[in-house]
Order: sequence, then structure tokens, then C-alpha cells
Amino acid sequence: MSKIMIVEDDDSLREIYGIRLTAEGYAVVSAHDGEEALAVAVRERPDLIVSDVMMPKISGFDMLDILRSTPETRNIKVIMMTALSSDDQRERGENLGADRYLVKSQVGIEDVVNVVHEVLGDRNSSGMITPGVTNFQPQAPVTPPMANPMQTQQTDFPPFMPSV
Amino acid sequence: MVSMSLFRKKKAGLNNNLNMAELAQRSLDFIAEAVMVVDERGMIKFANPAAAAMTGFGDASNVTGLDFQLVIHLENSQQVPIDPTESTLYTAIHINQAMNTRDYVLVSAQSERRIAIDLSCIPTGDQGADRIITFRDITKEITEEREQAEFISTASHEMRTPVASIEGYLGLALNPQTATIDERAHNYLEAAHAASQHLGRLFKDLLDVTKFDDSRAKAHLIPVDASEAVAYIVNEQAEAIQQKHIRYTFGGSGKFLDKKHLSQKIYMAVDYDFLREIVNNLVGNAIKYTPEGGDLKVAVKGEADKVLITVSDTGIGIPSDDLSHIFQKFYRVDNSQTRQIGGTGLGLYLVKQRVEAMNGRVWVESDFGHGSTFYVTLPRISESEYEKMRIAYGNEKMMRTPFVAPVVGTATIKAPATELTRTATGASGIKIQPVHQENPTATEHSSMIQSHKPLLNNTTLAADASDAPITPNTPQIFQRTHTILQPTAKPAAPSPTTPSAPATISTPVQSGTPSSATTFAPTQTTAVTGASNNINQN
Repeated sequence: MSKIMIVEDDDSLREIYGIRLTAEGYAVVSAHDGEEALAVAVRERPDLIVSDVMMPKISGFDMLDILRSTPETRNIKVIMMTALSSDDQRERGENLGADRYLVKSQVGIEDVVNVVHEVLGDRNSSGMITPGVTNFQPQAPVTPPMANPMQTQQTDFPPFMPSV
Repeated sequence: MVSMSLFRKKKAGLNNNLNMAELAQRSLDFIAEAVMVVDERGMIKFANPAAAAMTGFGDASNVTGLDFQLVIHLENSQQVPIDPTESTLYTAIHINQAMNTRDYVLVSAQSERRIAIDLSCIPTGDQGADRIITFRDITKEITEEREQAEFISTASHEMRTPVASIEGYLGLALNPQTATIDERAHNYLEAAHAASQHLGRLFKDLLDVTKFDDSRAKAHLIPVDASEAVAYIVNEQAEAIQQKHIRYTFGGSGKFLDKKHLSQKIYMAVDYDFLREIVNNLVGNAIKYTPEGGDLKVAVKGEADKVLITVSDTGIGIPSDDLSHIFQKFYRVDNSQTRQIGGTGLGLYLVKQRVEAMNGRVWVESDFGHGSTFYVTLPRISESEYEKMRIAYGNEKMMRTPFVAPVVGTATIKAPATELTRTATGASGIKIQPVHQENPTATEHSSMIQSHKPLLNNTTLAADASDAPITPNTPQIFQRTHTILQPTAKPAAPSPTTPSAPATISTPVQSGTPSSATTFAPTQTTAVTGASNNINQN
């Protein structure tokens, strides 16, 4: 079973994610700031890290930067969560090698669970995911957009937009 | 300074008039607001001291006799000078219309000092009569508004965290995997969960509005086909349109007006999220304020260098008194009908901000009781510019994601303008039948389409009836809400297989081409205290 590390400074959110992901069948460890996260990452070697961006001590981005430059932790998949939805934040996340960048206000906890499954490639039913291939824009969840107001960002590309 | 004796003197006659004139003059001399009188050609006949001071001309005598354009130098909030002949002030003076705006910044002639102003033009009679120009310094007001916006933003941000917790815990309680509860508790908690989600959305809206005020939100432009983009976005509200049995028409014109645009297509460079908000807002309002069985007409026209999007409805309309205010933040038309319908008063304000962020304009015409039409213009780009941007955009996207949308087409029915009898069947079995055809006008053709739930089909009649064959609708349009993105190209980089094993090959975990491997070198040195001793510091 895969191991997930949750990095989140808010105690309630950390607990909520933990309980939910444990129920999903994952082994879950957690850290409450970037510093602790790095230590735990090296010790526990999680398969995936779900991390907040805004945190005390060092930000999620700095943590990601260090993770990616450390051989032991370089290949851990990372999902960044932020309260801010500015574009330059997203770019920064992309450039630092986050596998996904989710905006908290736009995603619900179930979306996060879906994205976790996608990134780890361990859901075999829907056929939506190609395991092992990472992409940046989150996939469209199966629920139609109108039914679930909490959406992952920019999911489908409308037909009139240039496609290459 | 008005003394009671003035009123007694009213009966005195001639003497009284002199005093009134004196008082009027003194008022103009002392107020902080600038007042100017110009003639129909824009020549300044009078200016009070405040006007002369704010424009940097020192004394009023320095400006009398000058054309107002030489004296009033305007910029927009981005410090871009306004072409004098393009300012709304110029137009207002030219056509003798009343106008008021807070969009401009006055630049002092001498010191280059910039003052945000509230500017008005007031006609005094017919076309030949004088016009009054007034403006006042609103710098302080703007600062206060900005501080307020920041406060709301911070507060909303803070409040989101507990809201997220509430929602999260409720979710856990409602999830059989994580908790066991009885049916009654389930119902109550579900209601609470829905309410907390609603609360979350409200905060998000509030933040969206204030974010714009901070003007930190920048438009991220991508090239799009204007007609298709707008039609696609309207489609999101297909269900709402059908539920109210509103007749929806989509019209467009690819006709070119000059040699610049030789293609039938209309292209523009827009921020797609902004465009979506704009169209959704305008169409949403149309639906909201139009009674059952009404009409909604959306049209996209290409003019020389602008794209014109119009949204018309046969709804309750807007009273003329409210027309000049409806784009203001929190402004709501207050009558018995609107009170029933409800709203936040933020929608049109957001529309205006987003339109202007893309260098466009938005305005409205309305017939109270019969309907309204909203107009949005956005800069148009030529086909070659579209292609150039498309390639640049496509490359950028390729680097980041191998998942690109499949190329889809829309059904374009081009037929002689007089008759439309064919029925197109969508791939998913939905029949689309044109119900009614309007007489084509010189610049626009449209057809009313009634479609089955839940999707709308847009058909665009070409301005000149060229014989393009009917192309069947491709499935992707109809499955918009269930789009499953398929990779059309495998990413060039090798995909990492087992993330758990310590990597002996340094394959970056990302999508894209190998050349971007270099981006993962740390860009900064970070000192980490108390961390494991294996962490690199470079």
C-alpha cells in the first residue's frame, strides 16, 4: 500500500485529510511545517506528499525545491495545495516540479482524493489515468461541472482553444 | 456664509441680484471642485481657481480661450495617456451628452502630478449651448476603497480556514468509510454540509471581487475563435435556459469589413477565465431577469479591429435612472421584481473589471419593461496573429502537459439564407431542428435553435451563402461535461516507474521534454536548521 505524507499547518485540516486518506487505504504520515516535512520525508520515504504552500518556517515551495534537489526525495510525487489562485504561483509550482497544483477554494476533499489516486495511478476502473505519466493540469472529474461547484482548476480545454 | 438677511433682501430687487451673483462667484472661487464652462467646440469660456490649479495652469486667465483638450490631460489607471479624441469626455462634449466617470487620472501640465478624478460633463441646453465640466480629486476615496478591499480580502481569507474545517469534518461524518451515524443525523449533517459549501462559495466570490480591486489579477491572454468561444460558454447554461423555456438564438457574422480580415473567422486574444465570467454573468442575468418563454439572443460580430459581443433579452429591463449605475459595485436596481429575484450586486461590476482588464468596453441599452441588451467589445486579432499566438501557446502547453484537447469541430450549417430545412443529428442522437429563421440583415444572420436537453447547438449562417457541406456534430461537444482527456502525444521524457525505490537515474518527475530537466536545479540556497544531514545545500 502506498504511503502519503500530509504537510499542513492547520491541525483540523491535517486531521481531516489524514482520516479521509487512511479510509481510502493509504498509510499516512504527517508534518506540520516544511522543516518537519523534510525530516519526515527522508525518514519515511512516502510515495506522495500532499502539501500546503503557505506554512510557517519554510514555505511549501521552498520545501519542494529542497525535496527535488535531494537524491533520496527527488522522485516523490508532490501535490501542492494553496489558498491563493494566482497564476504566477501556479507557474512557480510547475517550475519546481510539483505534480499537481490545486487551489483550495476550488477543490473539495473528494477532488483531492481523486487527484491522489490519479497521481499514484492506482485506480484501475475509470480508465482516465495513464499510470506513471504525470501531467500538470488536473483531469476532469467524472461529475459534471454544474453538479459540483468545487472543481479542480481548468479541467477541459474547450474546442475553440488552440490545440497542438 | 448665507445670512438670513439675504432672504429679506429678496424683495429689494436689483440689489439682490448683484449679491446672488457675488455669492455664486465666491462659491466657485473657494470650492475644491474644479468647474469649467466650455462652448460647443470645446473652447474654455470659464474656469474656477480649482480647475486652473488642478490642471497646473496656475491662474484661470491662463486657460480661458484654450481648447479643453490642451488643458485637461487624461490618463488611465495604468498611466497610459488617453487619446484626447477617444476619451468619453470628448465624446460627451462633442455630442452634448451628460457623462460621469471615475476611470481617468488627470495629469497636471506643470508638475506632471497625477490626480485620480471624478469627472463629469453637464449639458446646459441644446447642441449650441455651453457645457459644464466638473472634476474633483478622489485620491483619498480611492485609497480608502483599496484599504477596505484589502480588509475584506484578509478577513475572507481568514474565515475560509474554519469554513474548510467545518466542511471537512462534516464530510467525514457523512462518509460511511470514516463514520457511522443514524439517518436523522445524516440528514441534518447533509444540510449543514450544503450550507458550509455555500458559505465557502460566498467567500470565494467576495475574494474574487476584492482581488480585482487590488488589480493584482492580470489577464493571461490566449488566442481564441470568438464565435466558438462565446457559444461554448453559453452552452454551460443550457439547462437553465431550457428550464425556463427561453428561446435562445445565437448569431454571428464573420463578414469582414475591411481588407484586414479576409477570413470568415473572428479571432481575439482573451483571458479565457475572464471571458467565461463575463459571458456567464451576462447570460446568467438575462436568464434570471427574463420570465418564462422569453427570448435570449447572443451575437458575436467582427468589426474592423473589435469584436462585438451582444447579449439581449426580453426581460424586465433596467429603469433609465439606474442605467448609469448598474456597473457599480454592489449596485442593485431596487424594485419589486428585482427584490424577488435576488443578487449580490457584484456581477456587473466584475464584468466591467474583467472587460476593461482586456482593454475592452462594456455598456448597456435597455427598455424598462421590455428587455435589455448588453454590449461588450474586445480587441480583435487577425488570422495571422491568431496563428502566431496559437503556435506560441501550443508550444507552451506542450511543455507542461501532454494532455491536449482533441481537435473538435462545431456544426456549421451554411445554407441559402432563405430556407433551412435540414435536420442535423448529433452523434449522441440528439436531434437539432431549427425552429425559426429570421430575415437576414446586412451584417448578421441568425437562426433560432431549439435543442433537447441538455445542450444547445449553435449554427452560424455565413453572411454570403457559400456552399460548405454540413459537418456532423462531433461527440466531444455533447460530452462536454464528461470530457475525458486523452493524450494525443506521448510525452518525450521517459516516465518514472516506481517512485518508491531511490532513484539511481536522475529522472525528474515531471512532464515535458528532457530539455526542461535543468529547471529542477534549486534556484536558491536555503538554509534549513534541524533537518536531516543528507539534504543538499547548494
